[in-house]
Amino acid sequence: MKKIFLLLIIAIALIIPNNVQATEEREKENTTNNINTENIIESQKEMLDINSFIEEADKYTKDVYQDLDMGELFSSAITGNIDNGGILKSILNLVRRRSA
Amino acid sequence: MLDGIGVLAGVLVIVVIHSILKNISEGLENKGIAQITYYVQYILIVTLIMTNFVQIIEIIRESIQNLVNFMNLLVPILITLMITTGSIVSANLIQPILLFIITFIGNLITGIIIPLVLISTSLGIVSKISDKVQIDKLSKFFKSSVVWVLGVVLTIFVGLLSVEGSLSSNVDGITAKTAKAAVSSFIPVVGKILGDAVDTVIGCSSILKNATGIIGIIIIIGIVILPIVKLAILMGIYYLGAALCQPIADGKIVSLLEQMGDTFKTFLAIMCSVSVMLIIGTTLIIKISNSGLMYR
Repeated sequence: MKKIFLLLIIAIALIIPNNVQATEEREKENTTNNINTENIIESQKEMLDINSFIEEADKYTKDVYQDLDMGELFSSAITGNIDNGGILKSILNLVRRRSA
Repeated sequence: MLDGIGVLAGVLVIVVIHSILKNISEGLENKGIAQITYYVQYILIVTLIMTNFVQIIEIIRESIQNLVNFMNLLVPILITLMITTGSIVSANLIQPILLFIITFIGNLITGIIIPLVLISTSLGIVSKISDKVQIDKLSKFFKSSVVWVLGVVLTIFVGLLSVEGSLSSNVDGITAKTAKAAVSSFIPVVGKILGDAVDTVIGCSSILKNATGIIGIIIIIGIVILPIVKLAILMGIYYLGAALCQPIADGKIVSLLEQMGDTFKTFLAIMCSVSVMLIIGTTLIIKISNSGLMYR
C-alpha cells in the first residue's frame, strides 16, 4: 500500500513540470506564428506595392480625413481594430468646417 | 451652406419687394407694369439661383471623376489580391465587368445624365416664365427617366456581380481544395508542410485584401460625403424657401423654388446611387473571394 502511494506521488511529481514546460512552448509557438504572419504580410505588401496605393489614395481624401493617416488606418484594418469613431469625427468636423 | 442661405435671403428680399410693387401697380390698375415687374423679379431670382448652381455642377462632375479614377486605382489591386488568394476564376470573370461598369457609369453620368438634368431644369425654368409656354411635363419626364436609368444600371451591376461571383467562388473553392489535397497526398515527406505553408500565405493575402477593400470603402465615402452633404443642405434650403415664399409670392416663383429643390434632390440621388453601387461592388469583391476560402 505504501509502495503504491509512493509510486503515485513520484508519477504526479514527474507530470507537473512537463505540463509547465508545454505551456511555455505553446506561447513561444504562438509568438513565432504571429511574427511569421506579420513577416508574410509585410513581404506581400512590398511585393504588391500597396504602400504606393495608400499614398495615391490619400490624395483623394486629404481634405476629409485630415486627422487620420491612411497608412495607420490600413495597419489597424489588418489587425481588425478600425477606429470608426475617429472616421466619424473627421466627417463631422468636415461638415462643421464647410458649414461655417 | 452660407452661400445657400445667402441665395435664399436674396430671393426673399426680391419676393418682398415684388409684392410691394405688385400692390402699387394693382392700385394704379396697370397690367403692363405688373407684367414687367414680374419678369424682372423672375430674371433676378433665376440669376441668383444660377450663381451657386454652376458651382454645384462642377463639384458633382469632379466627384464622379475622382470616384472613377480611384476605382481604376483600387480594382487592379483588389483583383491581384483575389488572384493571390486562389480566386482565379472569380477574378477573371469580375475584372472586365467591374472596369467596364465603372468607366460606363462615369461617362453615362457626366455625358448623359447631368446634361439631361440640366435640360430638365432649363425647361422647368422656361415654362414658369409665361402661362402660354408650358413644357413642365417634358421636364418631369426627363427627370424621372434619369432616376429610372440609374436604378436599372444599379440593379444590373449588383445582380451581375453577385450571381457571377457566387458561381465562380464555388469553382475556386473546390479547385483550391482539390489542389491542396493533391499536393498533401502525392508529394512525399513535405506535402503536408507545403500545403500548410500555402494556406498561411493565402490567409495573409486574404487579410491584406480585406484591409484594402475596407480602406477603399472608407475613401469612397470620403470622396462623396462633401457633395452629398452640400446637395442635401441646398435641397432643404430651396424647399424651405418655397414654403416661406408661398404666402407672399406668385405661384410660379414658389414652383420655381420647388423645381430647384427637385433638381438638387435628383443630383443627390445620383451621388448616393453611384456611391452605394461602388461600396456594394467593393464589398461583393471581398465577399466573393472570402466565400472561396470557406471551402478550406
